[in-house]
Amino acid sequence: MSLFAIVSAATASVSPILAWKPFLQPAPNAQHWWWLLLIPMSIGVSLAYKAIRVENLNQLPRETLRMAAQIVFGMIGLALALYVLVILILPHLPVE
Amino acid sequence: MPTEKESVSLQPIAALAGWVFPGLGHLVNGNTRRGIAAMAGVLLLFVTGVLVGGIDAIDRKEDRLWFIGQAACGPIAFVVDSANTAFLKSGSAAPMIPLPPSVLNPQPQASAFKGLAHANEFGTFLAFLAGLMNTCVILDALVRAPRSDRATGSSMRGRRAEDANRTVSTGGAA
Repeated sequence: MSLFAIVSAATASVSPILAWKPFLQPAPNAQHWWWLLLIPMSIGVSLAYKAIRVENLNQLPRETLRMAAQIVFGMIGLALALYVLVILILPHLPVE
Repeated sequence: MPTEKESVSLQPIAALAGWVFPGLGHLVNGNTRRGIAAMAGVLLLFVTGVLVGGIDAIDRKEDRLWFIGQAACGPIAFVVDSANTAFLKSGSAAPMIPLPPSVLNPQPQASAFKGLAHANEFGTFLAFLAGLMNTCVILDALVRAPRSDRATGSSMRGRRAEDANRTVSTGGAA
């Protein structure tokens, strides 16, 4: 593979990002990484919720991270449970 | 022992300030750290939503039900909606693309920057979630006693209005 082909391939993969106008244009290729949005979502919800719920604000960072982790792992658990149900169990049920 | 009437001390100015800008209600009442933390949480959701979905994620006319929740973030939601109208729907930011005609609209057009599929869905949802969380923050600002985070000194222990009133009624022996 020539250097030109490598550079062309690399440019093609990053060009949607380079051409992106943040806030004006939707984020490029969101269909590939949408699941990563679970992380800012869980941190944002946890931070806003714990900011009004904790009594001692010195515990806020720890409580926020704890709740965010609970949300993320809860979602992963739900995803695994649904995977088992839909992919592994349902196809083996007898068809009437 | 305070009566039910004495224990309710609402802070309507703080609640209104909390709608004007997320977390501002707590800042107005002197609960600075709590306000900044709440502001950071709500703005993280809102900014992430607009970053992912673009300003098209907030649309008062096309996504009216979503916008009801997003509007709980306050004027920032209306500003983004106005920007959507001014830059995208007017065609000033990107060219307009003709769409297939329908019965209701014989010559429909959409901006080339219009959000579709996952980007639009998650942008809209995150901004909506920011509005829901700000509703909780506003309600907390409504009932939380002013400067309650400072009341117990270095431990920064926050208390509700009824707790503060109980402290006063028992001579500070809470």
